Amino acid sequence: MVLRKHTSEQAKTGTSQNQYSDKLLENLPRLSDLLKREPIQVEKLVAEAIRTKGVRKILSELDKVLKGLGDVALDLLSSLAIGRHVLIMGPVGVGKTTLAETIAEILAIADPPYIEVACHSHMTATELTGDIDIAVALQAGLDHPLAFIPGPLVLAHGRILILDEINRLNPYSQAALLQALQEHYVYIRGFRIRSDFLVIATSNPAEYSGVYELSEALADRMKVIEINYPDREVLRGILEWKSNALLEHLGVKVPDFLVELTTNFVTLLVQDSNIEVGPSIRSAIFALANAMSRAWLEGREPSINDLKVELVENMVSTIRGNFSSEQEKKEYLLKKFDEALIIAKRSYKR
Amino acid sequence: MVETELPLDPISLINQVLEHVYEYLSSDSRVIRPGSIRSYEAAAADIYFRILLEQGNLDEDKLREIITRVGIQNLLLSVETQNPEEKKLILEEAFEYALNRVLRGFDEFAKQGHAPKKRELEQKQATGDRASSGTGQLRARSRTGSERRPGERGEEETDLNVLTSSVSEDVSLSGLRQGQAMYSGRTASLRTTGEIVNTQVEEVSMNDEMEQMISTIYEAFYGGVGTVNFMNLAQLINMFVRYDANIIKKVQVLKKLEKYLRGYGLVGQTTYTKLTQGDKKILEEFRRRTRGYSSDMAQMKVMKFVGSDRYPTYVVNMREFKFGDSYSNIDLYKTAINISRKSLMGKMITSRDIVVKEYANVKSIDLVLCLDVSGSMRELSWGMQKIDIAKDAVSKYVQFLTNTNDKLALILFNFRADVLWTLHQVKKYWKYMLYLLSYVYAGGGTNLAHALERAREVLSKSKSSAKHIVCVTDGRTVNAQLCIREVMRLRRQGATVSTIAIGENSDDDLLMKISRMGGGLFIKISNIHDLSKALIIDKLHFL
Repeated sequence: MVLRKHTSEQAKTGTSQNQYSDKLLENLPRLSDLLKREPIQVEKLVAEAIRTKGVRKILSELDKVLKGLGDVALDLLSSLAIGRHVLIMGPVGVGKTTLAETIAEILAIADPPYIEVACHSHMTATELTGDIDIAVALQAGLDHPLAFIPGPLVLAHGRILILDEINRLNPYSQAALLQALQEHYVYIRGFRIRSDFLVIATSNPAEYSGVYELSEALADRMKVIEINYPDREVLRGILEWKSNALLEHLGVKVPDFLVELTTNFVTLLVQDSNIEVGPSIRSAIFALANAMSRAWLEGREPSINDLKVELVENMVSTIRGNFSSEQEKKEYLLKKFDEALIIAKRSYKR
Repeated sequence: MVETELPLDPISLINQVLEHVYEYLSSDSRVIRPGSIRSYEAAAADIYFRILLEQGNLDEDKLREIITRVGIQNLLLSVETQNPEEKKLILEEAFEYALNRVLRGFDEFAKQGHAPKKRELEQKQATGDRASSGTGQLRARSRTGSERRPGERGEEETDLNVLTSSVSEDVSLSGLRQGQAMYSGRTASLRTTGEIVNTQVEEVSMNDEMEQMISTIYEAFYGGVGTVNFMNLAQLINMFVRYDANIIKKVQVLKKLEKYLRGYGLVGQTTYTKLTQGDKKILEEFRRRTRGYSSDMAQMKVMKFVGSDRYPTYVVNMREFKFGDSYSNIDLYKTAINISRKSLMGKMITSRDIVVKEYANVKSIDLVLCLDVSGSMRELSWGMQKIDIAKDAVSKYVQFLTNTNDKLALILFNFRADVLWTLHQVKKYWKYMLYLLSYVYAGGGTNLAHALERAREVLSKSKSSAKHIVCVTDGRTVNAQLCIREVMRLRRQGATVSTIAIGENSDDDLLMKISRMGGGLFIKISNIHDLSKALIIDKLHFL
């Protein structure tokens, strides 16, 4: 009896688990549904979203996440609204990916609003399109939700597809992407699935290492928006705002002087001709926050030396330039920091 | 409906601009592919929508800026140029040209018909009132606007008029005098529209001309973020004259620019205002002497890759003294031996005993000096900027060459290279050369390949049988592979290449390879103070 009860209980929980996973399975798209897809004019959806939200509101929402990119955002919106794919280009850590994600989220043309792919050089075409699992198909039939696992190109139907670091995409996967852009169909083992989407790609400028060139046909379909380093004042605002946001839960606030100092340091590096790949703003923010949290740990006031150490440690791996060794680079950065310190002190006295 | 007939509605304005851009690009020799139709279509639609997104807060500058920026964004990947680094610049030039063409056309229209303009104005005011009566209407306008694709315009003419008038108002009102002055100033930087400028600059007052110059220089230095766009002196001068113009013309241009260069702190503080002309000269000379010393401590390493038979021997023969020979050509050593021998033998000393070296004056060498003016040359060495020492070394070199019949060209290179002066005989023009040289400043990256390419361009016009290139650099260059290819081409043209490497940072392997392939010298100096010595060693090698 006891044993039986136990088994029935087990069966009960088992079925509930099954029901739960069945629900999940139901949410997965079936191949037959995918084949019935209707064309969607994504650019119309975007234009509709811009119209209902209003440009001002979109920009003000964007301002909560990223500052100083209003003009760039308008460039992005205008090309999305006419169905032109976009390539955002700029140095590391100026907010390319964040901009793409935020704009897609604000527009919210579908749920989820965007599909993101982090491109890498070993990506295969099937990774982008998805493939039919023959084993599942043989056992459960082709229309079983698990028989065909759709890739991002298929999932992005009616949405925005964010291709992060598209310069790392190899020519094979570029071809798959090109076909989807050109024909609006994705081919999987002879099945033709409709897929309409708008691409926002991000890329580092081509002189950076580990990069494939975009094929001509693909490049021809893209508009290039360049993001550069922000102006000094805007940069200062960003650093202050973001580092304080990181430190909010610690209950500390970054002193004005340290922000000024970091701003000077970053601007000096950006203007320096010895440096090819400049500092990332992200790393500057984290360096500021790191210096503060270090001081918080030890229960003392933050010192300039803390910031110096953190800045160099945070940036040394991203900066590339005319240096023969890592040591030389480090020393150069330390030298630049001292310069920045002198400038900051001078302007602070005034 | 007067306005619909005007060429002022944004769509046709954009279309006209893009047409002119295409025309410019397809006629430019630097462009391989002027872009695909798809990208132009997208650009047109994109610019139009971008203007709509501004919701009417447009002035003329903003309009120009938007058209240029968005247009370039769309065309950038589709247009192909010979030098990818130039692409953006060429596109900017093309848009400037196109906008000037189109907008000046509008101005002419406005000048011709004053009456229709007035009528137009009244209508505009009416529509303007209507537009300002409520933001709701404004939004409505942009709403209908965004639905319309540029291809299928026309049905909603009434709506278009509102937008049209707001654009046309800006263009025709603020345009006229002011705008024209500005345009002609901008076009001054365009070499292709030279003739148009000539007629227009005269209309503009002196004050405006200065404004233009300031803005041009300002754009040149601070227009682009980062150091890639930092222009060297040669590039700056060549914005106003052809690169192969006579050196005197270049000096004239530089004299005009001087004030502004000083204003931006690009020229050293050598203004001795209270001194007389003679004092200045003495001071300059003194400065040059003291700076140009070469230290005994520093090391210099010379490697020869030269086959001695390939070069013109500089002294063709020795002969007796004839009346009219220069005293500096006397071979003192041989003459002294002759005289001492004769006096020992107790014979008469005649003019036959004086031996004169006959130089191969007929055969002169065409020299091209490529000088690195990248940012690293701004560093200090023994309390002086490297670039200043290099300038002094080159001026010594120039003075050394005044004794010969050689021609010298100077190419400055940072991220891009340009010709400061093309081949000129040093004997005649050395004063101008020294003047130009004194204004060279440093900043930017290092691109040796481009310098070699420019040198090849310069030398392709030379008729001399002996061509020689000297590259002076203190850093690592981009495009090392391209450098090698350029050297191969130069070699095929019959030129030889020497390299001088300064300091520890230089890419010795590449430079050595270049000199080996170029059949010249590789000179490594640890201290820049030895540069003048190195240059003269390189030159003397052909004596």
